[in-house]
Amino acid sequence: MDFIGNLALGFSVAVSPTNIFYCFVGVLLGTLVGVLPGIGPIATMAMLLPATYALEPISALIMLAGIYYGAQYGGSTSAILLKLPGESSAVITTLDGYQMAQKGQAELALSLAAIGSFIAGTFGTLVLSAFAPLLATVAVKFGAAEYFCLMVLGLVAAIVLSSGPLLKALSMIILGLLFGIIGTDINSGLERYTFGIPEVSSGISFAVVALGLFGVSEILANLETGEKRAVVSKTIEGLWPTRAQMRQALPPILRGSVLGSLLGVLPGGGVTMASFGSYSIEKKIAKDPSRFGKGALEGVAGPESANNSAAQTSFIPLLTLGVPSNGVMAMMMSAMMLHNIRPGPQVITSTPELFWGLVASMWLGNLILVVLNLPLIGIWVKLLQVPYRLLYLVILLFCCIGIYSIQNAATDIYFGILFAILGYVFVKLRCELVPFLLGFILGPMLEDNLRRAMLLSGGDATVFVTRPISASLLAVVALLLIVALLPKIRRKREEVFQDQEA
Amino acid sequence: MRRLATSPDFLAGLAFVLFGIGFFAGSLNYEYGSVQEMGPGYFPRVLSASLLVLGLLQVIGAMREAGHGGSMASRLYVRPLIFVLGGMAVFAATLETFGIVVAAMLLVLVAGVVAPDRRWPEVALAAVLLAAFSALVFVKGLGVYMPIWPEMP
Amino acid sequence: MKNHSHQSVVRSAIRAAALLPFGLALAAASPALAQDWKPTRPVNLIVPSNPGGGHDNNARILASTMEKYAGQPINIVNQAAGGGVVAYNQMMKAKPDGYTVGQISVSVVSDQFRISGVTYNKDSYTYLGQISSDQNLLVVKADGPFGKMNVKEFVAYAKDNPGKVPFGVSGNWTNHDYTRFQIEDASGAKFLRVPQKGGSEIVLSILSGDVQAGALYPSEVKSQVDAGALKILAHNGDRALEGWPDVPTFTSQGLAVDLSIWRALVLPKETPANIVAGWRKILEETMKDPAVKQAYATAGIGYAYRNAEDMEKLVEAADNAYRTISAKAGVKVSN
Repeated sequence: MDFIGNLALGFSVAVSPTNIFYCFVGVLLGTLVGVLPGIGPIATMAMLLPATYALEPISALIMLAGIYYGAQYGGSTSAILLKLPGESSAVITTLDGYQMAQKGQAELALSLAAIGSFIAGTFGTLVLSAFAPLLATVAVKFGAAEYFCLMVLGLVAAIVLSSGPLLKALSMIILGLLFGIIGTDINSGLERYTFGIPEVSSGISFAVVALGLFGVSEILANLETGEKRAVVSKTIEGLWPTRAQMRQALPPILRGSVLGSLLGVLPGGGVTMASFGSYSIEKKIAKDPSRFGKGALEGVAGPESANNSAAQTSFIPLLTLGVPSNGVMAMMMSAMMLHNIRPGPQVITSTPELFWGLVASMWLGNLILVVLNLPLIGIWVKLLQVPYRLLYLVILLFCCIGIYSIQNAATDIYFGILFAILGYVFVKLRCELVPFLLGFILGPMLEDNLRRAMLLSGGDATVFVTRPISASLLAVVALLLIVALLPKIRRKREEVFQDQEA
Repeated sequence: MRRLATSPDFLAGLAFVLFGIGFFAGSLNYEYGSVQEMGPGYFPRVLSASLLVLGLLQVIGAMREAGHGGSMASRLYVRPLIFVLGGMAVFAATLETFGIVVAAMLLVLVAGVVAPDRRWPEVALAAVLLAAFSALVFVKGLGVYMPIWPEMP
Repeated sequence: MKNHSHQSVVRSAIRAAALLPFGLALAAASPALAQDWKPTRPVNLIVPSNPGGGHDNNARILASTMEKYAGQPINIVNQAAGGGVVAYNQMMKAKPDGYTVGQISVSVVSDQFRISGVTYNKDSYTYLGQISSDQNLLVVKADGPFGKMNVKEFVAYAKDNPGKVPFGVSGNWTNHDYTRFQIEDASGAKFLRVPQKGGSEIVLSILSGDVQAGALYPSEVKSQVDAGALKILAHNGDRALEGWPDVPTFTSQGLAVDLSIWRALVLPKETPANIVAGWRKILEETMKDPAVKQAYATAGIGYAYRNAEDMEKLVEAADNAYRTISAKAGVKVSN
C-alpha cells in the first residue's frame, strides 16, 4: 500500500508541466552530449548546475538526473554506430552493436537498445521504490573481501565473453590490469609507471584508453583499404524488431534488468559490471555462442538493459546512505546540497515528495527517452550516410576534443595516440581488446581491495572463504570457470588432434 | 622461420613477454612488502611475472605450430597510421597556443592526406566547417575549456 | 595559462528559461565605484578537484553568490590532474589579469613535503582571503565496540591494542593522515592505518565494519551522524562544531591534534595591485552575504573568512606546522 501511495505521490510531483519540461531538457541534452565521445554527463551536469539555482530543487534534480541516463543512452548510440564507447558501461555494446550496424541492422540495434533500456528502466524504478532501503543494507555488507571477490568474478566474466584462445584473453586481462596500475598508489602515495608526467599521476582516464583503443584504431583499420567504405552498409532492416526478434530479445532484456538492478547498488564499478555480466550470461546460455561478437542481438539487448537498470539503482547509496558511489552521484549530491537538501537516510522521511518525485521522474525520463529516440534513430543513421572520407575526420576531431576535455590536458591526446597504436596492432595480432579494457577498469579496485582485505585480516587469505558473501561469490567464480574452461580445453584438444591427423 | 615471424600468436606472445619484462623491471623500483602488508610493488610484480610466463607459453606454442601451417598476421598500413595519428599530435601541440580553430583545421588537413578518394577542396571545406562547428558547439555551447583563437602576445 | 573565458550558451539558455516564469533578470550588480576594479567578462575559477565533493561544492556555492558581486559569470574549471599539482601550477602561471582565480587548500603548503618536483609553496600566490575551514573528525560506528566510548577511552584502547584498530584515512599523507599521525603522536596509540580512496569509501567501510574508525570531514558524515549510524568522538578545530556543539575538540581532551585545514582564493603573484584590491573587495562582500553562510551550513562546509592579511599569517603558520610534523612523521618526498 505504501509502495503504491508513494509512487502516486511521486508521479503527482513529476508530471507537473514544469517538471516534465525540465525532464525533457535533461534527457535531450544528455542524449546529445552522450553521443559526443569523451564529453561525459559529469561535465554537462557541472556546467548546468549554476543554471539550476533559480529552479525548484525537484526540477533541478529531475533535469540533472535526466542528463545522466540520457547520456548513458546517447553513449550507446555512438558505441553502436561508430564503435566509440564514451562510458565504460558502453564498451560491451561495441561488440555486437557495431557488428549489427556493419551488417545493416543499425536501426534495429538502436531500437532494441531503446526498448531494452525502457523495460529495464521501468524495472529499475520499481526496484528503487520498493526495495531502496533494503538494498542499501546489502551495499553496506560489502567489505574489501567481498569487493575483491566481485572483481575476480568480473575478470572471469571477461574470460567467458572472449571468443579467442584462453591464454591470449588471460594475457590481455593481465596487461589491462597492469595499465590500470599506472598512477599514484593510494596506499603508499608512490607514483607508479608515470615517468614523472603529472597528468597521469591520477591514472589514465578510461575515456582516453577507450577512444584510442576502439575509436581511433577503428579509423585506422577502415582507412586501410583506401577505397570508399560506407561504415553502415545500407540499412537492410527497419527500425522495429519483428515479433521473432522481440521474442529473442525479451529474455535477455529481463535478465539484464534484474542483474543490473542488483549490481547497480554496489558503489564502485557496479554499472560496468552489470553490462559485462549480462553479456557473459547471454553468451553462456545461448544455444550458439559463436554468434556473439558477430552481431547477436542478445549481445545488445541484454547489456543495454543491464546498464540502464543499474544506472537507476546506483542512486540508492546516495539517496538512502548519503554516500555518492561515483562521479555522477557526487555531482547529484552537490546539486542537492546547493538546493539545501542533504541526501541521506532522512531524505525519504523529511522530504518524501522530493525522493518519490525523483524516482517517478526517472521512469518518466525513460519514457521520454524512448519517445525522443525512436525518431532520432533515423537521423543518427542518416548522419552515417556521410561519405567515410569526411566522416572519419569528424570522428577523429571529436575524439580529440573529447579526450582533451576530460582534464583539460593536451598530454592526454598523446596518450590517446599511444592507445590507438596499441589497439591497431593488437587487432592485427588477433588479440581481443575488451578483456584488456575490463582489466584496465577493474585493476585499481582489484588491487586496492585485495591489499585492504589482506591488511585487515593480518595476511590470512582464508578471509575470502569464511565470509559468507565473498565465499558465495567465489563459488560462482569456480562454477563459471568450470563452465567456461571445459569447452575451450576440449576444443583446443580437438584442434590439436586435427592438426596431428592432418 | 618467415612464417613464424608473421604468426599473430607468436608476435602476440612476444609482445606479452616484452610488456611483462617492462612492467616487471619497473616494479623492481617499488617495495614488494609482505602478504599482509603488500607494498606498491607486490601486485605489479606478480602480474607482470604471470604475463611473462603466459607470453612465453604462447611463443612456444606458436613455434610448435609454425611447422604445420598457422595463420598469418595481416599487414600494418603505415600511411594512415602516420597521418591520422600525426594529425592528432599536431592538434595536441597547437591547441593551447593557437586555439581550437587553427588546431582543428590542421588536424583535418593532416589527417585528410589519407582520405580515401581524397579531394582537396572538399577536405579544405571540411576543415573550415569543422573548425567553426567545434568552436561554436563545444567551446561556446558546451563550455569545453579551450581557447578559440590564437593567444595574442 | 590562457584566458579563454566564455559563458556557455546552453547554460545561459537554461538559466534564462529558469528565470522566465519569475519575470526577472539575473540580479544586476550594484554600480561599481570608479576606483574599484571589476571584471568585464566571464572569469575562470580553477578548482583542484573533480566535479562533486568538498572542494568543488565549496567553489560552486561561493561562485553562485560571488557572481552577484563580480557582476560577471564565474566558470568553475575543474583541474584534478595530479591530485592538484597541475591546478596549482596553472594558478601560479596564469596570466595576471584578474580573469583566472584559483581555489587552494592547505595542501598548497604540504605538497612540497611529499611530492617531488613541486615548485609552489606559500610564497607562490597573491592571497585574496580565506573562504572556509574544515575539521577532521574522529568517527566511529555508533553501534560498534567504540560507540559508547569517549575519545580518551578510545585512544587508551588503541594504545593497549597496538595495530589492532583499523583506522581509515583517505590517501597517503593527506590532512586526514596527518590527523591520524597526530592522534598517535599525542596519545601513544598505534592504529592499523588503512588508506582509502576518499571519504565516501571510508564511511562505507566503517558502516560495513571493515574499519573501526576514520578521519573524515563533517560534510562526509553529516547525514549518517544525524541518522545515528556514526558517532563523532572528537574534532581538530579550535571552536565548537557547527551542528554538534557537544563534540569535544582533541585539545580540550588533552590531545594535541590541531592541524588547521582551510581553503582560500588566490591570484597569480604578479597581478597588478588595483585588480588584487578589486577582487579582495568582491570576496569580502561575498563572504559577508548571509546566503553563503546558509549554503555552507547545508553543505556541511565550515564557514570561516579571513582577509588577505590574516590569511597570509595563517598560511605562514600552516607552513611551519606541516614542516614540523612532516619531519617528525618522517614523511618522504616520493616521485
